[in-house]
Formats: sequence, C-alpha cells, structure tokens
Amino acid sequence: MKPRSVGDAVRLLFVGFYTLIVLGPLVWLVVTSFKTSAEIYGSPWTLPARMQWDNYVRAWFEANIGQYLFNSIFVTAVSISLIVIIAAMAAYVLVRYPFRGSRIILVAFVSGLMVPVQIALVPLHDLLRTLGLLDSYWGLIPVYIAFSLPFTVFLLSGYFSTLPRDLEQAAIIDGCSHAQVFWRVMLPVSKPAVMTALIFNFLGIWNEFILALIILASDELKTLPLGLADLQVVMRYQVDWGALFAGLVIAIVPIFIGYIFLQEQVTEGATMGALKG
Amino acid sequence: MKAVYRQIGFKAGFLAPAVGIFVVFFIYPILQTLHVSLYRWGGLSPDMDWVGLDNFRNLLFHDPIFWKAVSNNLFFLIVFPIITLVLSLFFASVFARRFRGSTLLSSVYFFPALISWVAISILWSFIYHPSIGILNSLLAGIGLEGLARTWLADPAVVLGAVAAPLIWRNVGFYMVMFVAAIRNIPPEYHESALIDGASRWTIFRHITLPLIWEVVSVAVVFMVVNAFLAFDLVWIMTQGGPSRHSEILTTYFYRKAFIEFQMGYATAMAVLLFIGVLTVSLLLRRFMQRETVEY
Amino acid sequence: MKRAKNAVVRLFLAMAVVCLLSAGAAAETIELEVAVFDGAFGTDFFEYVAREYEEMHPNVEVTIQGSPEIGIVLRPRFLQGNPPDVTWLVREGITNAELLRADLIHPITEAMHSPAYFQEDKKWKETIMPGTLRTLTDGSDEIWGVSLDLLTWNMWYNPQMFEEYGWEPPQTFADLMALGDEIRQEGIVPIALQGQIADYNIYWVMQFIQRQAGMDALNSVLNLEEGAWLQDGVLEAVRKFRMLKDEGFFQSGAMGMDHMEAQTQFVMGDAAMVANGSWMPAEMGGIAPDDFEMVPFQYPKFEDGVGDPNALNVMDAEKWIVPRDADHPEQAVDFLKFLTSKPMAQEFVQQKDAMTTVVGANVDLSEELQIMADMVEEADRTFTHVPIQGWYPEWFGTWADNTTSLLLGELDPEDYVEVMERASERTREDPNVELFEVDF
Repeated sequence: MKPRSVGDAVRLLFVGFYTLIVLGPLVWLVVTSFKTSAEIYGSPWTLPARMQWDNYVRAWFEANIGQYLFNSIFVTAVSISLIVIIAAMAAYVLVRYPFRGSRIILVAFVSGLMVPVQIALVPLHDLLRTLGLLDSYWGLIPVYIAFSLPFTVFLLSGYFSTLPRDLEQAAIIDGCSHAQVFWRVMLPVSKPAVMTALIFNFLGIWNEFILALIILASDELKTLPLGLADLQVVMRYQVDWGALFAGLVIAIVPIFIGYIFLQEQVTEGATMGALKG
Repeated sequence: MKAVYRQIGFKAGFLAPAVGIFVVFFIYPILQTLHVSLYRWGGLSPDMDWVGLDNFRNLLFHDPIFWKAVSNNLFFLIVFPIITLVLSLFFASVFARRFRGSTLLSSVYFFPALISWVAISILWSFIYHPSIGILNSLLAGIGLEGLARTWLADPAVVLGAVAAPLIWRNVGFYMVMFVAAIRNIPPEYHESALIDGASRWTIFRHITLPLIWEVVSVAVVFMVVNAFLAFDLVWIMTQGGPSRHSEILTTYFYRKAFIEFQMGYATAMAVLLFIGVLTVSLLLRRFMQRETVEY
Repeated sequence: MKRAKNAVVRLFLAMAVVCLLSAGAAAETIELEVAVFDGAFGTDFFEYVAREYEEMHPNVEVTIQGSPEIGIVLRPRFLQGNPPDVTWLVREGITNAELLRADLIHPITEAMHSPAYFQEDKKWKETIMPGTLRTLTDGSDEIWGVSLDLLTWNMWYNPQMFEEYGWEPPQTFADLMALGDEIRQEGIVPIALQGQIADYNIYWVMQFIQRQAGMDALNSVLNLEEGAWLQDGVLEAVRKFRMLKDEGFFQSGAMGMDHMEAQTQFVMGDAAMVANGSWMPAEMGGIAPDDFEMVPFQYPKFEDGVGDPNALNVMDAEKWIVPRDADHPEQAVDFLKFLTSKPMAQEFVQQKDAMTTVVGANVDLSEELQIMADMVEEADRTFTHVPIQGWYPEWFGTWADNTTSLLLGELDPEDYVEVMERASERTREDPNVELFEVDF
C-alpha cells in the first residue's frame, strides 16, 4: 500500500509499530524457548548457542503437557457441541413458539450474561460435592454448559428471530414435525450463527481456568490452563525457564495450526457476533 | 387437539435440557450464594453462623482493601475499553479498505485473542521481569533507561502494566469485528461523502461510526465486563500485589474465600461484584443505545 | 451325560471358591494414598520410602501423589470427605491449621507412645526433636502431626567472592553495614532479596525484633499483646531492616523477583549474600554452576540489642498428618512412623542434603549442613512463624502486605509499627478468632 499522503504515512507507521508489538512477544517466546536457563538469565536478546530441543522434551514429559492438551481438546469439543445443540433447541422454542412465561425464561437466560463466575464458585463446588461430581468431567462439562447458555441462547435467539417464517411454514406444509423442522431447516440455515456460537464458546472454554481449577484435582484430568499454571510453579522451583517457555509454545502451537486452517471461519464467526449481536 | 399436545411435548422436550442444566448448575448455586453471604462460614466444616448483613456492612464500611480493589477495577474499566476501542477502531478504519497484506495482518493482530490467559500472563510476566525480561533491556537499548521499572512490583505502574496485556490481546479481536461491521455498510455512503470532499476523519466520525454503533456498543459492554473480571491475568501476574496495589474484586474474592477461608464474607463480595457489573452494563447499554442509527 | 453335567458343576463351584478366596486375599491389600508437596525436596525421596515400606509390609501398596500446589489440589477431596491417607500440605489451598480447626485430623498421640521403628527401646515420640511437635496444636495434649525435615533460616555468603575481595562474613550489624559499603563499591549487590512472596520478608522482621528487643518482645508480638509493637526495641528493629533497603543493600527489581530468582542472582555471582534457609543447596542444586560454593552464617549480632544472637528460626516445611476421613488411618499413622524412623531420616539427610527432626539422624552432613546443624545445637532458644500463619491468616496477610509496603518505601518504620499495633488489636478483639499463646 503506497502512502498517498502524510496521513497515510502516519497510519502506515502505526500499523507497522503495532505489528511489532503483536509479533514481538510471540517471536521472543519462541526464540527463548530454545535457550538454556543460563542463557536466558544472561540476556534476553541473545540467540541460543544451540537449539535446546531438550526444553520441549522436558515440558512434554515432566510437565505432562501432552496429556493436558488432549484433555482440553476433549473437554472443549464435547462441551461446545452440547452447548450449541442444547442452546439452539431452547432458543428455537422460545423464539418461535412463545407461550406464557417464555419471555421470562428468555430474559432469565440472557441476564445470566451479567453474572460473573465467582459469584457461584463456592456453592457450585458444594453442589458438585453433594452430587459426587467433583474431580470428574461429569461435573465440569455440565457446569461449562450452564455458564455458556446465556450467551449462546442470546446469540441464537437473536439470530432465529431474524429468519423469515416462511421457511418453517414450507417445511410444516411438507409434513415435517416440529422437531424435524428444527434439525432439517432451522439449524442448517443458521450456520453463520452456529459457527459464531461454536467459536466463541470454544475460546471461552479452551481458556477457562478458575472453574477447572476448583472442580478438577487429578492430574490425568487437568486441562491445559491448569497444566500451564502448574508448569509455571514447577519450573520456577527448578529454575527451568527454558522448559517453561517451551511449554508455553507447545500450548500455543495447536491454536496456531488450527487458526491457519480455520482462519476464515474464525474471523467470520467473530464478525457474525458483531453483526447480529 | 393432538397437534397442541404434540406441541407441548415438543416444546418441553426442547427446552428441558437447557432449562434443567441452567437451573441446577447456574440458578441454584447463585441463590445459594445469596444465602451463604448472610453467614460466616469457613468452608470446610458444615458449621455456619448467621451474621445477617454484617458481611456487607464490614465490606462497605470497614474494609479499605475492598475499596482499593473497587478503584483498581474502575481504572481497568475506564482505561481498558477506551484504549482498546480507540486502537481497534483506528486499525479497523485502516484495514476496512483492503490493501495488500491486510488480511494477513488482521490475522496476526487477531491471533493473541485465541491464546489462553494463563499463557499470556506467564509470557508477559517474563516480558516485565526485572532481569530476564525484554522490556527493560529494550528501553535501555533505545536510550530510555530512565523509564525502566520493576513493572509488576512498583505500585505506581503495576496497574498500567497489568492492563497492557489485556489491551494487547483484545485489540485485534475487536478490530476484526469492526472491520466486518464497516464492510457491511453499503459503499454508497462512503463514496458520496468522498465525492463531496469530506476528509477521512469526518467520514469516519459522522458516517462510519454511527452506522456501526450497535456493534461498538456491544463490544464496549464486553470490554467492561472483561475489565471487571480479569481474574486469571491478575492472579497469575501479581496475585493482587504488591501489597494489594493491583488487587481487583475477583482476586480479592479468591483470596478471602480460598486463602483466608472466609466464605461468607467472600460471597458477600461476589454479590456486590455482581451488582456492580450489572449496574454498569445496564447503564452503558442505556447510554449507548440512544446513538444507534438505522440504515 | 449326567456325569459330565456333574463335572461341569463341580468345576464351576471350584472356580467360584478359588475366586472368592483370592478376592478375599486381594481384599487384604491396603492401598495407602500419600499426597505430598512437590517443591525443593521433590517426590523421589518419598517414592523411595514408599518402596521400602512396601517391602516391609507386602500387603500394603503406597502411591505417592505430588504437586507444587498440593493444598489446592486436595481441597475438593477434603471437602468431599474423601481425602488421601497421609498428607503433607505446604503453602496454600488448605492448611493443617484449618483442618485442625474443623476437626479433620486423626490424632497420632497413641502411636507416638508406641515403640519406634528400628528402635524398639524408644517410643516414637522420643525419637523426634521435642520442640517440633508443639507447633500444630489445639491447646490440648494431643499430637496431631509429625515433621520430617528440619529447616533453619539463616544467611549465606559466597566464599569464593569473599576471598577474592578480602571480605569477612559480618559478625555484627555494624559489620554488615560496613561490608555493604565495600561490596557496593565493587558494583555487586550486597544481599539478594525477594519481594514477590510477601510473607518471606516477615521472617526478616521477626529475626530483627528478636535480636534487638529480645525473645520476650517477639513473643508478645506474636501473641498479639496490647502495646507489643510499641516497645522500643521493636521500632528500632524495623528501622534497621529498612536501613538495609535505604542503604542500597538489595538489588533493583528485588520486589519483582521471587525467591528462586533472587537466589539465582546469588549463585550467578551477582549478589554477595542472600537470606534463605538450610534447604538452599537442595533448591539451587540444579541451577548453581558446578564449582559454586556457598557457606551459611548466622544473622549478625545486634550489639545494642538485648536479644540472643544464637537464637534461630527453626521450623519444618509443614507437618505430616493423617486426615480423619482417611480410608486406613491406622496404617497411615504407621507409615508416618516409618517415614520418620532413623534409617529413613538418615536417607533423607543424604539424598536431600537437608536436616531432619529425627534425633541422631543428622550425621554425615555436608560441610554447609554441618554448620547449620551446629547453629541448631548452639541455639538455646528457637522460634518459628509456622503456627502463627495458621492461626491468624488474615493478620499474617496484613503483616506481609505492610512489610512489602515498608520495603517499597510507602510505609515508614514509625507508621509500620502503628499500623501493625492496630492490626493486632483488631485480630485480638475479633470474637471469632481463637487466640493462642507462644512462648519461645
């Protein structure tokens, strides 16, 4: 883009500068992940004398990053699938088949958006304890679903209400049951909103920390954020900064790869949130 | 008749999972919270002592740290949305007109939003680190050594230092959102204004911005709620230190509940936090809705 | 046909009996869950103890679970009434003090009066250093936990550096101030300080109060007595500590570093001294250069103070306990007895280069460790912060915050003692806080 004026040049400068700010920390992270702890202590700028792939090995095995990664993938995939389906079903009924009280239910869901997680932490934990669901995905996933419902119901109900009724009418005339209308007509047509819901929920759950922290305890079950926090503490005691940086890179790489492949959907999804929100 | 019954069955069936899970894992715990906040409870034994509104009274009138946390939250509430908004709108306006590399660059800007908070907090802790980190040596390198600080332990700058990754992560995200919104505006609006000789800034201020206002207001509400919470970031970077200078309501809550074992007191704080978030969000929406322009 | 059918039935019955018998035998296996803090001492030593115990008790299977955040990890299990059989809870998440308050610990008093492992002529209680059993208490005579490690808080210096520059480890506070000047002139940091873990700096203050104002004064402070903070010596002690900061003893950026990072400055030769404890060699083994040497020394004597210069802050990282809701409490207590037996303790000393509370097991110590063991011998009086932290978590937190403020320059010594006096009053008058007394 050739600057056509002073204004443009200034804009270009800003863009360049900010690009450095975004990329800088990430590049530094990767470079540092290949240094020894002594090198890291010595100077932040030097390049590693040799690539310490060892750091990655330690991060993977000693810190169990592989296990945590898999756990996160599992928990997130299951959660977001269930969330979207369950929320879509509810949103559909509330928007298309209103009855007395349906408005209240919808408001109840949506006002959940204002509720911070902290407020329910203690009793939630107690509830799970009573139900015997602590330290298990049977406890974690329903909680994730419950806390994602407000946003997802809000998003989907908003979207559904903009769709023309003729779609359903046509399907009903064709002999579909209400449920079939939902699965065969509404959902497919709502793909953009569904994608948005999936993406937003993915981000929310993939990064979720405090609920997982309180609910999960066994190492085999821990998700990636918990694992990283653990890694920070462990590597700090061993003064193994190299492995810590390597662990961070390992945690970021899958997202990076996923992003490269799904970039369009992700940005589209984010923008859907903007336009229909 | 039969159709009506089927409808009920269908409606109930479709609503049940969502309502069921919501009531059990969301509504019930929240109601319980209101209950617990009226007691003094250590969290471990079942003994709970009724104290009525004492927890709230102590919080509001006898707890300087609570108010410190509130003022820190207000700092984030103001600084984070404003800076993020300005930056993301600025970049959105630049990127909305596609140029070579704009897609690539916007992906780059967007990327941090996908990274886990824990990872970002750890990374930035290292950036700020007094001996290992790059920030101070960078400043020294360009001759601004005087600006070097112990970023996360200096009361004067710690809040700003914590706000930086918050902004860093979110600018790209909102930028992409705004770009989409801008591109959604029918081009005639811009074109006719350009033909009329309007400057870029004028166009932006009087045409673009009002037309994407709905999106902007939603974004602002998100930002505000984010600024209230931000637990992971602050907890991992400073735990509210040094000496409570970066304490925010969510970290203070965690400390009270899980380190000092004052569950009742902590849940009272959570209730106040909730009221705060709700009030601010509603006020914001009310304030911003007036400006919406339909097209 | 009938004979075949009979045979089949008999075979079936036989199999059933075998199954039942082996199930019965299998039911004899006791699975002990031991959860430990994974920190300076790691978990390998405890794995070793587990295997040794299993050899002695073939029907017992011991699993070790370790985490640097063990308290946090175990909290849900305690709440669920399903804790491990043995726990060693260091740092946050859930503490022994909290558990004791909620009556969730299984007392080991009875076992304490039974013969010790490998020393049948002695009772278990007699094989442990007496002072260390006192610190987890509810005021009664019950014994709630036992410790394995013995840690002292002292200072360390770099002998190679000191020799190079012709310095001597400081004997008195005046020596320290003079030495600080000399060290600074060489462009080296006199003392590496950590600022991130706020409560570690409380221990400096405690040391200084003891040295300046005496053990009784320290006791009164820890007992939250009225006017304790306003005693003369106490203010002077705080002033002296603040003097270290004001005279540039600490590295810039100290407040942003945790103990590992500060200690790294020391082992990398950027700082001449560091205040830490006897676990330093174990903790820094991985990062210190191979030829690095460090020598422990006692905090300097305050010539104008009334305290005992040999008094030592001695503690254990935390007590080992058996939770009340453990699946196999008796076996668990027995495991603790084994863990703290003389041979195991000696192994601990060798493997971890650290001291133990087990009497007579501190043998074959490394040079540095021997110096600290001698310090323990020479100390007529010892004190520890451990129970205070558990009894008054909020007050302790306030103390930590105020000390950070002192070090940041936000709070002056005069204000510091005022604020702490008020904080003590608040806690003392709080009807919900149970008050304990220490008498070091």
